[in-house]
Order: sequence, then structure tokens, then C-alpha cells
Amino acid sequence: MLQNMAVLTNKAKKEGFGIAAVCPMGIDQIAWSFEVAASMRSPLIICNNSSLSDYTIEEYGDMVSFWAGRYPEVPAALCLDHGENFEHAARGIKAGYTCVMVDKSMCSDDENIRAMKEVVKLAHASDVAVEAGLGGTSWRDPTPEDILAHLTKVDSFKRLVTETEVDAVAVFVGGSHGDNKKQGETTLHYDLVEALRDAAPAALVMHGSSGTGDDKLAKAAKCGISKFNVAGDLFMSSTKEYAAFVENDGADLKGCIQALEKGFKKRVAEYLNFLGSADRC
Amino acid sequence: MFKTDVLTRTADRLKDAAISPRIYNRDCIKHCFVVADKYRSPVIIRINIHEFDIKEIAYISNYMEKTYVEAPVSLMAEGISNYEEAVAVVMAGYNGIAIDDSLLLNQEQNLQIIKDIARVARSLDVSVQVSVKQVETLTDGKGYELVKKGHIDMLKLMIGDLNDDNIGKYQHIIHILRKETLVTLGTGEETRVETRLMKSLAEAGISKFDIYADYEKACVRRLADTFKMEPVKDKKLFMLELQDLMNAVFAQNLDYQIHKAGHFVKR
Repeated sequence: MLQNMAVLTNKAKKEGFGIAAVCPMGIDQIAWSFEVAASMRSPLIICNNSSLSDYTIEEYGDMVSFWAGRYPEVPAALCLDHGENFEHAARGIKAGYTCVMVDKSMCSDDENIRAMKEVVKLAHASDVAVEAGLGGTSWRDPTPEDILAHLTKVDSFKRLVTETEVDAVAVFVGGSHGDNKKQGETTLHYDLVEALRDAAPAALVMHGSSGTGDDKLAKAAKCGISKFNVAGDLFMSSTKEYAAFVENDGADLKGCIQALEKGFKKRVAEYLNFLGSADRC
Repeated sequence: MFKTDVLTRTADRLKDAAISPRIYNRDCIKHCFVVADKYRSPVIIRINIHEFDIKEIAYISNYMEKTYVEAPVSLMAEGISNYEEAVAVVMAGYNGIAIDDSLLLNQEQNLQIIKDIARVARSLDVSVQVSVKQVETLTDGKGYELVKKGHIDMLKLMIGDLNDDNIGKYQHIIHILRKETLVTLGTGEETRVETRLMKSLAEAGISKFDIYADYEKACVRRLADTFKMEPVKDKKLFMLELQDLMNAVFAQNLDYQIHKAGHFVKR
């Protein structure tokens, strides 16, 4: 059964580990994610990034709820990723999501706070967590200069959490969305992570984890990031398995799909391991 | 969803045929509903019970049915080789079951199992299909015997290669079977059957075309072509494209097969 995401992230924050928030494109990948989490006794967060999937918010929500019911031993949450407004949040809450993100990170702090207050009021009345965004968290492929200029500010974070009571905040601490990152070249600001962690009770979320480097993400989890959104790394791993399959014997569709599944599951398992969430339930 | 042979009977009456795609992943299900809804043309989703969890597929299909309420879709389970498997799929909400060839190899010995399966299926409004490999043997009265003794609703004829030389023979067999039995007739997963041959089979009395190999080949080919154009190191999100491609090929193929199979479109 799906749980309020704050229950999962609070435990992660308290115990110093991270939870992979995977972004499946469809039902197959939802099923694979649950299979891995169950086999590794790990909590799991599923993020619905609507740009990746063919399903409506409602369809996606119902499918994840069904799989959560199939794996009751997995403490799981479903997060609506990068919702744009109050209406998106309301749809997500009605559809059974246990966390809704409304991303106003590109707005001013005042605007962000005003929008989040409205969402929090509705979500908390429905026992649903809320994730906000702050700093350059929604930026794709920023330059190093852009990153430094838009790191999440501790004062802004403290004010956002205090005034709105959001449960989680996607912070900008060096990692970023995008396909142009070179493996391992991302600089994460661990001191900033620790300062944010201690500044307010909200869980810290990192978007664009792919390509950052496993060791860096593991360290970030220990420093205080509780939720790591990941999509590209899983797809890349699938693609690699597919490539290997095609080189040997690529004439069988079932074989292609099995290769994709193998790559996806392998990378999810690696994330659960290095973030420290395996064997936590 | 619809009882499977209700769709094939409707197709039969209109001298058209329903298409019956074997799905290769869970995400294909939505596309089946979308295409069936778009053309108001029957789609009989087939799954092999040894490849998927039957409850998961039933859940997804029942869910999609609520969204696409007017889509003429039926859900059929293949590979049923014993009574327990039949009960499991019938209870899970499937609309049709296809008895595995292995059970038909020794028909005399397994007749009671086939009857038992048919009894539970009929009592819950589920269609039963058996397949016949030696199609020629059906014309000596065995077709009728098999249908009568086994209480089945649909016969699947494993035709194999279909061409101008043998189409006449099959039309003749279909003609005799239709006079002898009330069951609807389907074909196996014959590949690359020309549209005109498919249509002539539909007009002769075939009301369900099983498909798989056609879109499998199309899909694998297009994946490989796309992949070759840009090697993996430059295709970080290739899987995103790949998933879209698989879905697109599947949907396009359903679209194409529907037009091949009959004149249902928008009826």
C-alpha cells in the first residue's frame, strides 16, 4: 500500500540514507521497480514525470497503486513530479498520489511561498505530502557558472519550509537535470546539503541524479539528501544491455525486452545499494 | 469487455475479421484499447499465460475498459493446458481461453479435460477456442465432431503459408466447416499475408486473425535501424526513444491490420 511520502523521507533523514525515486515510463517499468525493491527489502518512491509516459495522471496513479498492493512489503510512495500548478496537485491527490510536487522554483520566493501554501493546505488535509522546488532545480543542462549562481540559499529554504510547512524541497546543490553531463564531473556542495538539512525539518530532494556518480550520491545521502530522482541512468543501463543483445542476436523482440528489463533492474538495484536503502524494511 | 466469440460472431456476420494481437509487454494493452476505440473495430488481446501474470493483465485491461468504454475489446488467455489454469483465467475475468495444442495431441484421452474446461468457461460466459494444425482433416467430419464433443466456440486453423496457389483449398475447407458447425473460425499468426488474401479469407468465413510476427519483425527492424544510426555512447536516452518506437510500431501495425482485416472501420 502506498504511504504518505513524508513517512519514508522522515525515516531516511533520521537514519541517514537515501531513497531512489525512479521515474518509470510505463507499466512494465513500474512492475520492474517494485520487483527489485521487494527483492532488496527497500523502500521505493515512484515519480510520475508526465513528459516520459503515455499515461494520464489518473491512469498512472491507479497502476502504481495496484502494484503497491501486489508488493505490500515494500514501503512505497507515489510522487507527481514537476506539477505545474494547484490544479495538477489536486488531480494528483484525487488520483491517489501520496506526494505532489508543484515546481515554482523559477518564480520569486514570495510567489513560490504563496503557491505552496495553497497546495499544502489541500494536500495535508488529504494526508498527502508536498514537495516544493527551490533554486535552479528545474534547470536543464546549466553551465557551471549557472549552477553556482543558482544554488539553493539556506535563508530562502528556511523561510519556504517555515512559512508553508512543505514536507520536502527539491534543492539545487550542484546536480542538475540534463543529458550533457559528463560522468563524474558534477560537483556536489556537501556543506550546503548539511546546512540545508539542519536549517529546517523538510526532507531534501535531489533531481537529475543520473550521471552524477555513485560515490557522490552515496555521500550526499549520508549528508542529508533523502530522495534522489533518477531516470536517465536507468534508461542508459537498459540501452547498454540492449546494445549487447543486438550485437549478439537482435532478431527477437522478446529478447530485446528482456535485455531492457535486465539493464533497468540492474541499475535500480545499484541505486538501492549505494544509497543505503536496501534491507531497510 | 466482450465475450471473445461475440466479437468474432459480429465479425462473421459482417464478413470481416477481428484482429488478435499477442502482446509483448504490459504497455501494449492501452494501445489495443486506443486503436479499437479509434476505429470501433474489434481487438482481441491475447496473452500467453506462461509469459505474464494473468491477474496483472486482467487488472490493466479492466482498468482501460473503464476509460475506453466503447472500445470493442476482449481479453483472451492462451496456453491453457489443464483445468486449474482454465479456472484461474476464467476467475480472473478473461473473456476467452485458448486450449493449448498439447492437450489436443491426444484428443481422446484429454476430451474430458476439454469438456470440463468448456463447462466452467460457458457457465461464466467465457469463450473457448481450440486450434487445429492439420486443417485438411477437418473436412471429413472431424471438425464437427471435435466441436460437438468438446463444446467449443471457436476453431483456430493453423494455415501456415498462404498464397494464390492454396487459397482456394482453404476457402473450400472454410466453406465446408461453416456448413457443418456454428463455431467461428480464426487463423494462426500467419505472416505477411497480402491484404487481398486476408480479405478473401475474411469473406469466406475467417473472423479472427491472430497477429504477432508481423509487428515483431517491424519493431525489431526499426529498433536496430535507429540504434545503428547513433551508437549507444551518444544515445543516453535511447530507451525513451526506443519505448516510443515500440509503442508506435505496435499501434501502427494494429492500425494496418485492422484495415487489412475488414471494413469495420468507424462502423
